Amino acid sequence: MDAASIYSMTLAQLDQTELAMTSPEGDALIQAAPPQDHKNAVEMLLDVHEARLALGNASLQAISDQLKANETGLVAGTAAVRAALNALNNVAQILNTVTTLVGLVAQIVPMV
Amino acid sequence: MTLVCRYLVIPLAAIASSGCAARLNQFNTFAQAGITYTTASQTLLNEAGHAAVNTDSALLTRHRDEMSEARRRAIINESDKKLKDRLAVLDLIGAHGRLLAAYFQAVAALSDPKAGESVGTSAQGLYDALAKISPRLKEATVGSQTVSSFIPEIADPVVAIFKARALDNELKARACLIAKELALQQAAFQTIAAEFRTDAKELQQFQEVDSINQFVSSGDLAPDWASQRPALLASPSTIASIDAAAKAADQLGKAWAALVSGRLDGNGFNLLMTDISNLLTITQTIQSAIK
Repeated sequence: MDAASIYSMTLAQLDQTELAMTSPEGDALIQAAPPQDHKNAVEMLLDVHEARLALGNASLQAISDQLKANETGLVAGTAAVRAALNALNNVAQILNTVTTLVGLVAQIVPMV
Repeated sequence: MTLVCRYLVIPLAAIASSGCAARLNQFNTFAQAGITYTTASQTLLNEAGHAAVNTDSALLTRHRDEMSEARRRAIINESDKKLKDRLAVLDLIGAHGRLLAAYFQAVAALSDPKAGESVGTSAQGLYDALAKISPRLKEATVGSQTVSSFIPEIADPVVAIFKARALDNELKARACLIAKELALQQAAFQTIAAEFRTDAKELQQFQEVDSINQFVSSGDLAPDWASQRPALLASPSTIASIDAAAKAADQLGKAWAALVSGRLDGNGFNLLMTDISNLLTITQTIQSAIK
């Protein structure tokens, strides 16, 4: 099993635990527990919550690092496609220039 | 001689243009779908960030009275640090999505059926100018039609072939990169979805617990106690939205693979457009709710 799958499975378990502890049923159990058990349960809930935040960040950071690695290629692709579009526009510009030039020639040279 | 060449070129170009136009349309539709996906996913990233902070605030405030001052200070600092990291990484994913959108925008601009129309107009202008110099050109016909009437038809296939080749070159150069990019986007949104789902559900559970406690206590119920219950017992609407982003990224990846291998059909496009439009509808609903 790769790191991403382990992250994902552990995170899913933490999600379920936090949801179970904050559900109406979980909350009722925690509220009704003896003082020391109640204190321990609240501490455990807060620990689960912090672990969930940390592991979620680690998972997203790992993906973000890989996205970052693709960035150069993506920018190069955008530039290549834009260059092709510019080349197409240049054809139109060249034709426009030639049209203007031909128009000028038409004024100078007697019509056939 | 020129007329003969044009006469020969027209049918060849016309045959080539139908294939080129279809390919350009595929690129254009795909790029438009990509732009919509990347734009809509930005809203969901923002919402995921807000949900993480709101859930943390709700959890900590509920148990604040049970913590010592030292514990409160330690946990708020720890939470703040992690939430800053979460928002920063969501921003990074968002910034990268904007780069992807810029790529799709460039592809859409090049594959736009209207892009390059000015080439046809310019070619017509050039012909008009030449015709002024040479009346014989003006009078020349190919079959029953004047040379002038063929010019836009000739220019269009040339433009279409140029654009299709430029885009095919782009596919060859970066097909794998974009496939990887879309797979990573999907993976990111799956993780974000799982956390967003938990945050949204937890916030709703807190409200449900408050509602129960209010009912159990001997005090008066809030006037809107009963009217609030249906919303507390239903699934949070935001949960559907985040799944839509991962699904749309998945469909975009499948469409890209089909486009690259030349087997993208109408059905593939329909599936893609359904998912993207679903994502768009949901993000528009979220944006309206925020306003």
